[in-house]
Amino acid sequence: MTMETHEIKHSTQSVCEQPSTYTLGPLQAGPYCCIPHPVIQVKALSLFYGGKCALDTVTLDIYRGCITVLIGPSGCGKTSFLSALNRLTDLVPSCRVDGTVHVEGENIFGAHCNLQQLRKRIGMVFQKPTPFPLSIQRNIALPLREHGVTRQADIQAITEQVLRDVGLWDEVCDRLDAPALSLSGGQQQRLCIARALALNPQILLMDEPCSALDPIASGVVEELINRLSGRYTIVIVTHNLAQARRIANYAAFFWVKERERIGHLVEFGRCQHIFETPSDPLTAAYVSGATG
Amino acid sequence: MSKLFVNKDKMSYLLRDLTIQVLIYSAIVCVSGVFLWILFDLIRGGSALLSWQFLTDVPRDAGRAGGISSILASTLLVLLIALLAALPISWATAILLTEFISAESPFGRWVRYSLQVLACVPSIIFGLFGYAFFSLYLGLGFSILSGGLTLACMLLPILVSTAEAGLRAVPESYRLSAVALGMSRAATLFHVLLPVAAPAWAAGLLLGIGRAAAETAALMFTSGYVDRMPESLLDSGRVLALHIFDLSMNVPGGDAPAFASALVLILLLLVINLVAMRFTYLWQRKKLNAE
Repeated sequence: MTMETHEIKHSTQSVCEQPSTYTLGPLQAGPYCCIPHPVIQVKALSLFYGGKCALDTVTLDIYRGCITVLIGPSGCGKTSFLSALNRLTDLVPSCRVDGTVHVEGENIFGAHCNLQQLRKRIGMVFQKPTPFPLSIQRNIALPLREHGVTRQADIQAITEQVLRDVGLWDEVCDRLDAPALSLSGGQQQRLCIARALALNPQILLMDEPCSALDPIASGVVEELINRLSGRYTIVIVTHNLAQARRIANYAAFFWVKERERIGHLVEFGRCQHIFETPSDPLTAAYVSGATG
Repeated sequence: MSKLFVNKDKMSYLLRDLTIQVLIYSAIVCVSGVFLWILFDLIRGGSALLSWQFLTDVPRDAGRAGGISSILASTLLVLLIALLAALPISWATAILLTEFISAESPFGRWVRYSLQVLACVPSIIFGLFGYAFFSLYLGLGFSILSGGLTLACMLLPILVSTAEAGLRAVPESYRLSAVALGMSRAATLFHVLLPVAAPAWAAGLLLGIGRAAAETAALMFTSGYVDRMPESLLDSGRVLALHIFDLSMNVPGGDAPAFASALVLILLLLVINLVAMRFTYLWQRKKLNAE
């Protein structure tokens, strides 16, 4: 097995329907300082479940190659916000979305958005590891085939590459046919990340990816997220403030109004600013542990 | 000895435990006892007559002599038609109910409610309906086709509800991650959901086959009770359950062949069970692990 860069050529239509080829290279640690180029622009996004407002007019930019953490107490709409970014909110019949989300300039709530391409471009990792009850190999091959990668050699190359990217290759290379559910929780979560990476996304959405894992597995995944930044734009929800502080470039603090139970964005800015010199007293109280 | 348990408490705890165990084990003995009793009774009464010739000969002298080859053929044909008609409709309905419309939608509720009502309808009513609709209105007469289609109507509620329950039992996270990976509904259904739900679907299928093979009343009015070998699907044909009923109620001296036929029916169901389970297991393994 080789460590070289695998060049996989296949037509990958972007949301804007432009075919391109891409290269999967070995990972490098991402630059801590990001060029502030917004890849996702959220404007006045509101979410309603069955007519009840769950998230109130959020406006923020997600910058390319950076890690943006979403923090705040339970029920403040972080996960709802995250699932609006790849339109998983569509799955909830009673959910209505107002406002716009532009990914690379294109409104994903527009009529012409290709959902399959959107979700290929914006990968998602859930709180609990969710591998399919298939073999390790097939977990990665199935979505790849679905997106038009059918050559066995390509699939194998991508599988090896992404499993190396998440540090799972050495642990599973001799048992790729084993059921994915036989892996440990941390390994399953890394497999899910690898499965998302296999589609060569630009953006990764992570919904508390470490909260179902033990501290050691959690540390491994955190280290992986750190390595992935730079090459991918990462938006991550976490309840672990120490972790948020360690990995984030930008932080968004959400809060929920006591009486109406409506989530809203209190403050968004560079991680250092949110954690050390927050402008809002609510943020200050939350990050210092005085409330929440 | 710790003070945690006062001796009296400990005794009552053990006693309760013992009572529950006795109850559970006696329930198991009752259930398997009934099955073994029936099987033993059938083997005792029917094994003497059971032979290759009994299976391959046509009935003679109203079933007192000869065999049951034509009856077996009619039974299998009726079953086949019932399954061919009912399986696609009910599985498609189950997929529609779970994957394409929400559980609370008015349409979904209405379909589910009508299936529940259908499940409560006694089989004799299905027989009368089949006779009125398939035999008279559609002009199929007393025929295997008419009997099979009537059975198909009867099977719908069982097949739909078991298949629906099977699909609902598949963790929602599989669907969610498939959508998040941009996979199509069809691919998710075929590559992930169905293989996971397959054992439940097979169990439903077996329940359905069991009910269909045991059906007497509904077929009396539709497929009829002519005991010769059917020549086409529009021919009348007598199924095993009806044959057993006829031999034991209407034919003096028909007890021995009735026992033998019942034994054949039970063995047939056992074989179908084993084959279906094996097939499901192999298919599931192939779908879940094959590259």
